[in-house]
Amino acid sequence: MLKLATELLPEFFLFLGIDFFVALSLLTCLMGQFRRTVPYLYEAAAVFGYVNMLMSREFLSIFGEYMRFSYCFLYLALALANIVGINVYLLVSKKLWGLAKIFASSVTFPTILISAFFFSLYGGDTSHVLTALLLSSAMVLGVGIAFLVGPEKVKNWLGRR
Amino acid sequence: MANRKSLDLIVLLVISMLIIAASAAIYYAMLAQTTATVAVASVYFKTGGDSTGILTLGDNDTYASLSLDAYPNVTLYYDQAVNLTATADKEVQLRHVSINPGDGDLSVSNFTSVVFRLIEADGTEVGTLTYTTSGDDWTEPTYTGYVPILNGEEMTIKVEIKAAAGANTGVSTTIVIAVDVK
Repeated sequence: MLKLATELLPEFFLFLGIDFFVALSLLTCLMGQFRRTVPYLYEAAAVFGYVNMLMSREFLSIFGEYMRFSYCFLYLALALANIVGINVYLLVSKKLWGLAKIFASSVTFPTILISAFFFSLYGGDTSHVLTALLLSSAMVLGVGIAFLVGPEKVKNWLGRR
Repeated sequence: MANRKSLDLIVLLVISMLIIAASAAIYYAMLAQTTATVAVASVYFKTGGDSTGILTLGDNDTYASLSLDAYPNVTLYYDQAVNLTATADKEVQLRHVSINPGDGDLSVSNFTSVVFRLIEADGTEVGTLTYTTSGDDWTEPTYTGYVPILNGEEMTIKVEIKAAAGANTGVSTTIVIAVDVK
């Protein structure tokens, strides 16, 4: 049975969210498909997460674990939504199928998988690990189908819409 | 254009590293846990020369209960009510914790004073806790102040107790004091 040396705190999701925002900031700067302000906005979002973590530490005895988990998970969900959003933007608005495919396989899919994995570990139940594995399998399947359909067919489909 | 992008990247990298390092430090601080290990007490109680019949030592000699008499208008001395010894160089002090019955109780006036003296092996008095009464109220001490106790040294706690003239028999009081060690 999988057993962690130390239990995860709810703030781990906050930390994960900060990392994702920082990564997004650097990636959007490197890709050159975005306005100059976008990376700085993501950096500001990471700073916001850091402030959240500071507040969480200061009010540790006042905030219950449920509340801490709620806002930490919400922050992580925001970070993931932004990653997916970037992916969709590249695919739909910029029509960069190749870049969107690379982004999906190297950023979107791993970040969602990592989040699902740690979420299941936080639950402390092996069945959650199983859930995460099933979720990741479903995503791999989805990506696989996208590859099978092919870029041209997807482009045509998007063009029709 | 390329220079501006490089500059942006450097600035973002520096900010990113700072944010991640600070966040990790905070998370680690939140994760840090205190580990408590049970160990033998470095200062503990021992029976003294006058302990027979009055002293009950608790488990591991870290607790001592004294059952003392008091006579009306006479001061009774227990020169070695209980002793203290150390297995390492430490500092100790006697500290008032509680007294019962407390202020306002009619039985308080049956007592005149209770004095605890901390005395070194050579007879030097190094601290005193003095309880006196004023009508139905106690005047309680606070603490003696820390004094050094060396490894293997044996100190004694001398108790002087006096009841008021004409005090009722059978009246009792319970005083709790602590031995602080640092």
